[in-house]
Amino acid sequence: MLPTIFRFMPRLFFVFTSILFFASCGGGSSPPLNLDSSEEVVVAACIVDESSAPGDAVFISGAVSFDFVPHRMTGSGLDYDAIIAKPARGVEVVLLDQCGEELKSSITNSVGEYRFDDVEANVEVSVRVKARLLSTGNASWDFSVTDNTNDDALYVLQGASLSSGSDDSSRDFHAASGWGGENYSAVRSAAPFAILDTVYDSVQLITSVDSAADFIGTELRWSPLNSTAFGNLAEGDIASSFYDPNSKYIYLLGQEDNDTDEYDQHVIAHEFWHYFEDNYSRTESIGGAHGGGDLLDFRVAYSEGVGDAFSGMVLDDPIYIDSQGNGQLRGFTFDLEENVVSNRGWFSESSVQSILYDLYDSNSVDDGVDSIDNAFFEFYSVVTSPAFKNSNTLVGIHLFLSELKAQFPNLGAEVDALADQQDITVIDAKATGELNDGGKSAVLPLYKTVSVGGAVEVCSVNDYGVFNKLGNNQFVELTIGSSASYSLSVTRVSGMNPSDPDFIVWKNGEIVDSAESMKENSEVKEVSLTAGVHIIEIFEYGNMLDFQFSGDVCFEFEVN
Amino acid sequence: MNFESKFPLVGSLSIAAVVSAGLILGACSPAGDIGRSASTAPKTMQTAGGYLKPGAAVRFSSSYDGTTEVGEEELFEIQVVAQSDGELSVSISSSESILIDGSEVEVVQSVVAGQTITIPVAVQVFNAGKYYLNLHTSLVSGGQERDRAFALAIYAGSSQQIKNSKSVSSNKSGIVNTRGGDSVVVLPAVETVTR
Repeated sequence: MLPTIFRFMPRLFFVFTSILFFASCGGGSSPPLNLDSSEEVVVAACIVDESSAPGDAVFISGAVSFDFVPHRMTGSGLDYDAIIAKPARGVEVVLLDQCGEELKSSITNSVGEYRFDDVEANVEVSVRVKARLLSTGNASWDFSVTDNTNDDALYVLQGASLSSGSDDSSRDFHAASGWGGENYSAVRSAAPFAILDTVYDSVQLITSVDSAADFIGTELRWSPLNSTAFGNLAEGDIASSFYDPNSKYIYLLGQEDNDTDEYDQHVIAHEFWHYFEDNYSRTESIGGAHGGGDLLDFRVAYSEGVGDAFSGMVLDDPIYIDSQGNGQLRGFTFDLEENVVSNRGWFSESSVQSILYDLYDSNSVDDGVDSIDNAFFEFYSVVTSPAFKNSNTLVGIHLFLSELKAQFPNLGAEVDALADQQDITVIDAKATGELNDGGKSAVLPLYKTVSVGGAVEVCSVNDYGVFNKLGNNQFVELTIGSSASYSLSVTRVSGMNPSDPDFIVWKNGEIVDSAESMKENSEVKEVSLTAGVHIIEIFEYGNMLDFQFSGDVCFEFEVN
Repeated sequence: MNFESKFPLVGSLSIAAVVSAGLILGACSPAGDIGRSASTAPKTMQTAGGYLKPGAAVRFSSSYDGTTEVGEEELFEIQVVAQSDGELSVSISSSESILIDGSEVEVVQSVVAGQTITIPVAVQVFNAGKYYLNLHTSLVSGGQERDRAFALAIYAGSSQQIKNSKSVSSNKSGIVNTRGGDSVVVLPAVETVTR
């Protein structure tokens, strides 16, 4: 839909390349600020001239739009020949006086329009458009796009300081992509608003089933300097677009000819899922590199697979696209609807995304054994339910699907059919009855069990890679009857020698304790445990590193 | 460039590349693994911030020491480790006004999980600043293609020279302190006023 800016038949209009004015004390105009200056500008003490009597009120309205660069119809690169103007929806627009003080605030509607009522006539005012999605209604949120290479400053569009006049008027804004034909030759003003556009869609999808959703405010940190180099975030070396569970911020790539993500909507929605699951659902994913055909740690497979599926739900588009490379002309795609995936199973990101997207899509695109339609409400209900969030098992596809079946019994048969199509057996959250071991028998059962005074053998293997791959980590369920201090020990019994066993103690998704010394072939620690079910994650530390330090090794885990 | 003296595993120079922005880049055909010291960071610390967007399951590292003398040739190695079996392609270019003489550096080969592709690289920078080598990797595994981009920051000159260079300070324009004390980055826009 074209924003209002293109539908106006103006009586009189001016076009500015936005230049910020700061009026000097007592009114009047001052020289424009030189935006090429590298020096920060500090607003001096400023007094608005209030000597004259208030005039009549007028309203100032307008529309905000930005350039959106779509992907090519074939392939995965960006198509700069097909740029369209899209409305900036849900963003905060403020009216400033001549001293830069905020007088009024407005939120753009679904076509990018804003309006300030009761503006004093014939006073100098300017309009500032913030790269900030804001809602203070029944459902509330506050998402802003900031520049991690510029002291985390908020991106804004700034209008000129002009008289409000004696009649109603409009001030429209358009942020351009900055594309110059062969490269970005101008400031990429559209980028922050393109990012927010996908966040807006994400929020709309969630609030469609949860009208009182109360989102924790966060920042999406983007810069044209954000590269795939690993280093200092403040210099833009962010390595990847990612969600940081420590700061709660989402970082997005922006470096031209390397990898830009402001127009890769699936990537943004995927990272938004990670924000959501961390704050409103639950995850124990350990991150790391992951691909569609990989046999992954089940926690990673679930988190990433749901993130992929969620991106398709937000955009109502099952074709995930990520552009990158010189001229943003390369990249890759995959189809969330694809049911025939390599290495299918509970450890496959592709299997998880296939099941989850089939829950969401409508009956018009049912495929394979998919007979569930429009089940986003059911998906959302499960991932935000206390039963899911407080489960004493770790989060994987078994927990999700078993809860889905428990909370929506009418879907049981259809869920089983989708799971069976991916060679997954869903009886309970602990993967009881699971037969698909991915070709490595050591990975089943998913949760071995041990009692106080007993022992169990587990093996950390690197058959499918290291760090976050299937078999790197083993899981043992330990039920404690009474709170006390217990001795947990892991001792090498066969395989790679020397080894460096480590373990982490989980309870209800939280890390209770860990033992990660560099001691060879054993790890022992006295751990204070409370009554209830604990999950002990055991691994060979070498299998967290590069292959040359890794290997298959079996341990005896003992509790006393 | 004499790679044999510094890279005994590598027999010959396969591609020489020249970058117009003052960067000279060369590469040889893949060689064997390069050792690296094991991290002593605990896993619970390693995972913080270790989240990556979907893409090729490959890991990247280099032997670059983080400093380059202006005008002098810097030799180091880039390693790409496949995390899955498949067909891996790696191409290298520079983010700075790319004009590689002849062609991009590109390596394509079948790999098994854990296999390392090592690419010797020579860099020469004529102006102080921060530059990037861009790596584009593509791994076709199980019939599915995934890509992942990597970049390696090259620091040429002294820290003060780098700080003052355009390549680092180019994003510092447009920042303004507001009345409320916050900073904003003012982006240019077309404003249309209708009365």
